[in-house]
Amino acid sequence: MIKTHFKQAWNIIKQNKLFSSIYVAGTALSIALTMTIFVIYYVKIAPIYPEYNRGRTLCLKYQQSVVYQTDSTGREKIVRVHTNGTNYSFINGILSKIDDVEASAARVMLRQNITTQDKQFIKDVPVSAVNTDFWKVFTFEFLDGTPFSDADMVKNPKSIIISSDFAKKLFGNTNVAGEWVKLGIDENEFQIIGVVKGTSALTLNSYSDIYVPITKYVNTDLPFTINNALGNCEIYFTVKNNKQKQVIGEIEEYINKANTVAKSEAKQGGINNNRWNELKVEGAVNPYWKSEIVNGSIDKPIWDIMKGILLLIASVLIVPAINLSSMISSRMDERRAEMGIRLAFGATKGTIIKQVLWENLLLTCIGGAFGLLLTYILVSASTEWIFTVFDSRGSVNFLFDTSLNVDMLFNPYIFMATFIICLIINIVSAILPARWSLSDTIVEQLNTKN
Amino acid sequence: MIKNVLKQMWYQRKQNGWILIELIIIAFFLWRAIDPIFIFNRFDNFEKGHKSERSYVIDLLYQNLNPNLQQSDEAKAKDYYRLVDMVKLHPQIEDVSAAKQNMYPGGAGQRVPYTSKQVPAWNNNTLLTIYQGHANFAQNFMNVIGFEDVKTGMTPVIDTRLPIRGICYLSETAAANLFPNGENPIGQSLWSGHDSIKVAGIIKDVRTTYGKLSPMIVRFPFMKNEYDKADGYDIILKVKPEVDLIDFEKKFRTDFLPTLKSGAFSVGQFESMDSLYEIGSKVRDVDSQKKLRYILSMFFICCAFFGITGTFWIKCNKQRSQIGLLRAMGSTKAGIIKKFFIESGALVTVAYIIALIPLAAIIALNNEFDMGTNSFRCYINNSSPYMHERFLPHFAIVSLITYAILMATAFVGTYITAHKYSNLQPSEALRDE
Repeated sequence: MIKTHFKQAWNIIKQNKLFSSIYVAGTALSIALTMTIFVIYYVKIAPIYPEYNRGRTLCLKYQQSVVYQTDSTGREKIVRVHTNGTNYSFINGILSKIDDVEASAARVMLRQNITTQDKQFIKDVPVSAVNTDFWKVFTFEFLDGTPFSDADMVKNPKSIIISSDFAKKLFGNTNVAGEWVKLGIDENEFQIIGVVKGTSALTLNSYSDIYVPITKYVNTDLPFTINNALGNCEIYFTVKNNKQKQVIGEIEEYINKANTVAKSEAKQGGINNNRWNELKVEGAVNPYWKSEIVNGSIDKPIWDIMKGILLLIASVLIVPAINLSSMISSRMDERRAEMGIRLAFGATKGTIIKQVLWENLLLTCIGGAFGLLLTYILVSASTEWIFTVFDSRGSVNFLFDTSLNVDMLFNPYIFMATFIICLIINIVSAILPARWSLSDTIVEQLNTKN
Repeated sequence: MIKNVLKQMWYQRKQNGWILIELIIIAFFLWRAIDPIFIFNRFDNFEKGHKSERSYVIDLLYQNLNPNLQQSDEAKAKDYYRLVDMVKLHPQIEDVSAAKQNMYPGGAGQRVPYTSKQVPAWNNNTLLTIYQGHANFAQNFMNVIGFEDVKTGMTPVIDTRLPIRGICYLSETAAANLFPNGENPIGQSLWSGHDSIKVAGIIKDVRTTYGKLSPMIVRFPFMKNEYDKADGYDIILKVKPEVDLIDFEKKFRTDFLPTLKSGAFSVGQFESMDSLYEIGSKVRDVDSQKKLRYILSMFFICCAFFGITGTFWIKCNKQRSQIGLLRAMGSTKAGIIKKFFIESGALVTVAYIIALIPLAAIIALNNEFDMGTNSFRCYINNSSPYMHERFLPHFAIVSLITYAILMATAFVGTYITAHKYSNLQPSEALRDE
């Protein structure tokens, strides 16, 4: 039966070339824009090399610390609000005490100039200062050498890990463990102890050309207090499966306790002019997907951010769907006599609606295929900017290599999403016109002049 | 003719209903896609507003890696002042000052509400972008960044007899927002919370990295405990006019900066103020936002084109006999095309008028033009000197542009189908009858 529907649909396509072209083009446009938005968020959220643990990773990128003061009348007032990254002490003071936290990565991202042994000078190289757990949270493939060990985490570290792309740029190959480079404005010498398979700046949380031990830039021995909670680190930590809510709850409990201590100390001791800091608890720690969507706008409810994106998706789906509905409605008018004959011979309305849906599905799927092709062209031609258009705080991706990996574009989820969108467009655009056209009696349908 | 066409449209209202609904939705979204493009293009017309061709920023790092060594604020300040003095001694440098990180042209900035006697605290338009100099180095701050007095075009000279921490400079737009009644702002007080500050001068508007002319304030508070924070003070400097900038940058980077260390302070980055502005603009994604709007506009235009072409193709196909009759009775090709033009023109106009009502209501209720992202807000300010901030001219211009684009799309779509069917021979068209 389905085969007959498709055959009939194919004949209609051949008979009405202009109609079919417009239908396919309209669908392709809609699919292209919707899938572009899908690909943007897929790259941001889905498990992609080397961020395969995204599904069970929690992030702490930005924190807000509110400074309170008691005035002469005893009223508490907000003096200032600081927003910044996190202090490394968060790992020592809180995360290390939670059983369900598996590994806690800390990173500080910088740009540094480097000089090679043969005096090659490269400006503004992306450098990440990371701890040992970084290599557990982000599962890099080591092409040469090993990750940092605890022995590398000294106050004046001398070891670095570089990406394969950067190794090729500097030395022409990736077997460079043991080589030396000079790093930073003070040109300290560092030995390469490992080479990881390079990644794209589209996975910005793990991307870098050079990785140095975090101890070069951060004091990792400080105890956690509310007063030193802000710093320069981004923290990513993996938790045991399905324990995300529980871990967030435990972290909030720790922070609430520390806030209470800081406040009571300030009030009892009257120190620091009755001022105290309060670390904002809500929204600080987020699952990976939420952190990418919120992108630093910690004051904003996620719904406010999603609203704009959903409105955009709705507009790029609804407009072409109405267009297609209009065309299907007109074609159904032309086929009233045919439908009348089928109804007269005992076909149910359901059967006819099913037939119309199958016929249109063929056209929609052709449009979908063209749309997906358009998506790939659009995304590949504009990687430098398109992945940041929904970021509320802007991005630094454009400074680095934003090439796309194969698994970012060609994967079952993207094909599945395209097909689902085709189905939605098909049902939304065909079902109403088909039902309306069948609302007349068989006699009225047979009387139609054609 | 117009009356007949309108009558016919009413008879075909079921078929026209679909395209009318589609056109209303397209008009609504196309307007919203074109509006930010219009605003971004207005931003492009603004001048930079300050002379920073020879200005540079040294971003400092404070890295106290020894947990046993706790430096007092005074010790940190001494180390910091030593660094500034070292830069001052460089023979190619004209002036040196200190600016809070990100709070100078090219930085992300921070906005704080200020009020005057004329403008109450709850008015959102009084949010001012802060450019902040260090009180101890305030004297050269205006020259290093290259701010210009709005009247004379000269760099304002700070009167050192005044308490530096109690004065500020307002940009032209900030002055207009805070003193809308035309009162001279100089010497007037502004409040942020309980702190008051006096206006010492008015400077030209400066384009922010978002491209717009955000109301701006230059101020010089003194915060002794902020040297070791990520948002501490950067050293800013201006190079002498006779110095070759390319040569200076190279030598300064390789010979001078590695020696610039004091206590736990060292150099993080060194960039010209203009290149920081360029990077800042890219980070803020101004171009990306524009491109996204162009793509969305093209999408809605294509949808309108396909919708109109499809609808008129089906209409023409149905009206083959009518076209044949018209041709047999002596109608010209141009006459038939004109009939369809009137029909599509009327459809677009009706749909557009309907779409404008919710658009105007949303903008008026929100008191701002929707830029699609929070970073690029455009509030309505009917007393603003800039046309894009005034409701009526802004709304009228964007509406006209959108209407013209929709009409042109509709006419192209109609022409393609109407032209094809107007070529029908009467005998051929009437054969089916």
